[in-house]
Amino acid sequence: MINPFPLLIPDSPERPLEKASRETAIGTGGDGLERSGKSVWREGEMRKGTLWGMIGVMSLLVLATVSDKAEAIPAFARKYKTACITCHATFPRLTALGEAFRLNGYRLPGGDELYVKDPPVSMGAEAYKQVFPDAVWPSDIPGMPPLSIRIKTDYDYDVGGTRASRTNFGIDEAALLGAGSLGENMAFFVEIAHHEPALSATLNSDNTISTNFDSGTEFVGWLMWKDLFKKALGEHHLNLRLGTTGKQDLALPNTRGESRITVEHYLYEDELEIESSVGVELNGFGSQWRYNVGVLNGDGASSKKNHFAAASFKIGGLGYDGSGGTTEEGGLKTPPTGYWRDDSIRIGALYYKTYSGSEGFGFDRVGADVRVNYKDLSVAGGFITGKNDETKEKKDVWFAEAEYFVFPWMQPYVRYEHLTSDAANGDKSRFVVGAALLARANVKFNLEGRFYTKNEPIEATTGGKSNEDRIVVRLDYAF
Amino acid sequence: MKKNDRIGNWIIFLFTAAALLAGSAIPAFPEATGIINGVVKTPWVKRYEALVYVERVEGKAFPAPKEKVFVSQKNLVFKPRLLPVLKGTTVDFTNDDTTIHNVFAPPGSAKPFNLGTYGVGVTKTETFDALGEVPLLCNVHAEMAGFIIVLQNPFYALTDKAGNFEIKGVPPGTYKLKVWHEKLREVTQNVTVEAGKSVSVEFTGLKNR
Repeated sequence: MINPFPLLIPDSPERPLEKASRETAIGTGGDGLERSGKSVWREGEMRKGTLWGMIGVMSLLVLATVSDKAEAIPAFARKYKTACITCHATFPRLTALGEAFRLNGYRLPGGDELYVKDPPVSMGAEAYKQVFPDAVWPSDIPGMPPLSIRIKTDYDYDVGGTRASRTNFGIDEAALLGAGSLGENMAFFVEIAHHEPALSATLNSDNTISTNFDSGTEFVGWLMWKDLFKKALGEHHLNLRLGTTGKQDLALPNTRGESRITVEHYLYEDELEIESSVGVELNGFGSQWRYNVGVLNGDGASSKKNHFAAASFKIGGLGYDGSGGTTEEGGLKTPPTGYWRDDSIRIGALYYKTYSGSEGFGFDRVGADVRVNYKDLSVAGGFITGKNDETKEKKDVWFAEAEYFVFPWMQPYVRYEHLTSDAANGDKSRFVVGAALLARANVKFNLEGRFYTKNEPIEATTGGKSNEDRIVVRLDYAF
Repeated sequence: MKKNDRIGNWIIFLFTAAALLAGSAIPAFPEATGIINGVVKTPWVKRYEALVYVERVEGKAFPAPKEKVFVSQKNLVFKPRLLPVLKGTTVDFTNDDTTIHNVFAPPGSAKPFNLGTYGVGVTKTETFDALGEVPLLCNVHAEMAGFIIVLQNPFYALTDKAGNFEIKGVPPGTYKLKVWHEKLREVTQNVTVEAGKSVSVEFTGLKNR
């Protein structure tokens, strides 16, 4: 078989280009990291054109400068001496085991200690629990600093042809990530990300313009206590997270931005301004269900706090708690073929309320999604509606997507999204089509196109032509 | 007595004496015993040994050994990490390290104790006179951990890396066979031992503590 991708896959007679089946759940290798972000405004250019144009791209602009929070962390590859594909099926998308690992506070279900190759530094032997309160409760910290670096670079082609330069190279984002567990009952996540600074403008209801400068540096961090009141409530059922909560779970549960394999954000996240901030979150999960409820900081202009609730139910596949994934002897099971496979149906729902401040961005959002995995195919769809408290503008977004594992390193995808807005010229429809290609476990290319079939705010200024169509080649890598 | 009678008496005497001497050299008829072997199926045994033991043997006394048993502290670890002992055994805790150490067992242990802090080369002693689990801690180096399990009888074995074990010399009878592991909940199975025979036991489905 001729290797069509010599730059991606070196020719090796020992490694035919075919679907791999894994011998064990724990292998060797590096890790991968994927994040995607909008690059429309990464050069910090003010868009020329009318105020309508500003409004139309305002949300895109602001959110283009908000980094995704990574769900692929190479530090875990080092901790367990295992390849990225233990937890990721084309990063950052998590496998069922990876999801159980994440929910379990970055610990493998069924006995994490068994698999750790980089021994943690003990902060006290287990028996110190019997000494408490006359001693500090025992735990441990990661052995090696659990840090990873991720770089994301884009080659962007402006299909619409309205930019001064139709092509652009750029570093979309550089991030330093750290995550791990602190003993059995605590977990942490931190990220410092930098992207191109950007300036955005907003047309207010009183026809004034507000500008917002994004410096390009963002910090996210949270600490989670697991298994609160475990004896009474059961294991995993109540966890407390403090910090920049919600970012990984403030979304439709089965189509989360952090877990997508496309470059392009989900339209619903951008249009309905779903983004996290500092707050408090309670979450929990069982074998077939999970939930998150949180209270977040508002914009500061109101004493009211934003809040959200999300839940998901799963039929089939590995349990959220990893159940069904261990052998009788207690070790991890390995899927017979295809580490990405997890035949299952997941149904989720989200409610998110933000309160208005002086700028009037109170918003109610309610939505549901579903994801069906069957062998090498994953299809998902969702619907979410949002209403602005002040303007009463209503936005509905629905979408459907499909991804398919042609090879373990090649995953084509397509997504269709449709936005209906009460605002004049607010509707949008678009396709996102592309493929994710793993050159290595921790090095990924996306070849992707974004094509609008309707983009009214742009069309209003360009006479019917959507100049937000683009083709992008993205290189994501992490170590 | 005629001469032939005297010779015959001597022969009988010598024979009897020889028989008595031989008989005294022959050990008493060995108590018949059996063997318990098997496997503890858990991946944890690759990391830490499991202890398999007969919980109780009635009708027999098992005095503690006169020889002392040692637990060393070196390179900031207790060695051995797991030490099964008979009730009444005296253990020497030796500081073979290059720093001061302490040994204590926390509340809830079968034998709470605290030897205090002591220097390099010093040995302190404790006698374990209550059945059960005794975790060992050091209040200078909180990460150090060890375990002493105080048993009623000497019929126990530590598993190998594959979880296999073998307990020899077990008197015939029906017993509760237990598995202890520092990460797992204790489990019990009934086992019947017959003289001159082996009985095989498999432990599966062990749950985390």
